Amino acid sequence: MKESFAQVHAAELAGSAATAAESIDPALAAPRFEDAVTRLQSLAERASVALRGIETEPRNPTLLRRTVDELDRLASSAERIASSP
Amino acid sequence: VSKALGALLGVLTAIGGFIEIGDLVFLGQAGAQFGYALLWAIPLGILGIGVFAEMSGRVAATSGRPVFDLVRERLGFGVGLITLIAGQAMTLLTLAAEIGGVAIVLQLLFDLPNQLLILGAGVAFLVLIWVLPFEWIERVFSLPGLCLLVFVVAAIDLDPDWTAVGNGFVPNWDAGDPMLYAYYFVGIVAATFMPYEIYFYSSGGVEEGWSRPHLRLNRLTVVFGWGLGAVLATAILITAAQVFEPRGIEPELLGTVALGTQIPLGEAGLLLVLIGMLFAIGGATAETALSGAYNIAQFLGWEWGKYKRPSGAPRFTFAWMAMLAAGTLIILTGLDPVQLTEFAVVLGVVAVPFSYLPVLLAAGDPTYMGDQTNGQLQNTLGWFYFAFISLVAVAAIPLLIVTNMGQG
Repeated sequence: MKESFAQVHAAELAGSAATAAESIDPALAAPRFEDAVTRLQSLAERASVALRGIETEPRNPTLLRRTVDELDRLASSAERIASSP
Repeated sequence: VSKALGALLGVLTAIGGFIEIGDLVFLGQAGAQFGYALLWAIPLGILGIGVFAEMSGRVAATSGRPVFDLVRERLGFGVGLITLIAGQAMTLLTLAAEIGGVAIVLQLLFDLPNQLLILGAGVAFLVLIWVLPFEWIERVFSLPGLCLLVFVVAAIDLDPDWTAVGNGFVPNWDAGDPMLYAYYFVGIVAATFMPYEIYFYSSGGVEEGWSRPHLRLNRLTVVFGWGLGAVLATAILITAAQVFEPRGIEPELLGTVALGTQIPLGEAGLLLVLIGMLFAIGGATAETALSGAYNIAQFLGWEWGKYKRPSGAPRFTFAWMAMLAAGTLIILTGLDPVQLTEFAVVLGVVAVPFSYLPVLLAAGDPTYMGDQTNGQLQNTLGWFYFAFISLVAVAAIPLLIVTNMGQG
């Protein structure tokens, strides 16, 4: 059950992250936000890729630990962008 | 003893059947976005639906007439027909969302293709509703739905700041974006006031042959069953506030709401909550399918009731089967059940005042109710909540648009 839940939920979250990445368009942002929006788009894409890893290998503890670290890093980066002036 | 057991079973069924997909979605998101600041919406909504449910149960027990019987009689054919169409549309959308919710939980448990699970769920409900008598339809789903009480354990285990929790029962419009706050307030109240719940409750009273001796059971079910359901709703919001708000997570998926119990209670908590969700949402699926059939049959004066053999109420039987088939087809198109739920919950509240008013008028009519007519307190609460839910209904659609369905 644990693997099933992890696989399905990771796939749903990866899908949400991919949709978010597609909906962020740096070209539509005001010039002063263009760089931040580009970085946010990249973060969403990386989150989607990391979550797809859990979907494909839910029983690989090394990959799971790596993914947790990667998602933590991405969350911190997003936080920094959101709080930047 | 058997009477007491029957009452206990009724109360347990009411608690287990209280939560459905709309509550899970709105309570989870409200807790994640506003912490405890929307807790006050829960008792406000519960008291209102309790007043309405008690009245509709009392009218059913006294006169044997459920909601849509009264809608036609009190509002006339024209306004009644509009109420029927609005009520049916929202009940059908809710049904589609519930079937989708069942499929999501099954997918989280067994990792099978979603479309296959939707189809399987549709067929399974068709068989279950056909085979099971009315009382068992309620019990089979609602009693395992009590597994959702794991949210209460999780909320306590997370050791929240109880003073802050207490403060959450006082309105606080400075908690964040006022429009979003109002949207989630409307969402929580609307999820509590889902119109199908009253259609089902009052029709269920007639199905179970309620008469005057059942009036005490009606009150017990409303006060204890739904009152304890409010404790469960409070626990879901507290869990979301504790787990998701500090991490900046918005639980837009049912699986994420379930993780609220996994963090404090581990795998057992996750398994229990998934089982609870499966049966609670499953119960709501059966209730919405039957409610759709009750409404149309009562309005058009058809023979109706699960207590009758299908050949004794053929149009009613066809109606619930058609509701199930339509709900399954709608969700098979690929609509997101969670978004559909939000949409159905918020729009559904618009139909509530039109269903509420005939019940309120009938319950306050001494020529109709005799010694069971509304007292002063019941009338005051009834009219207060009619005004309140009418205001909520007026605000619902603008808030849905302005907040982009809560996305800000």
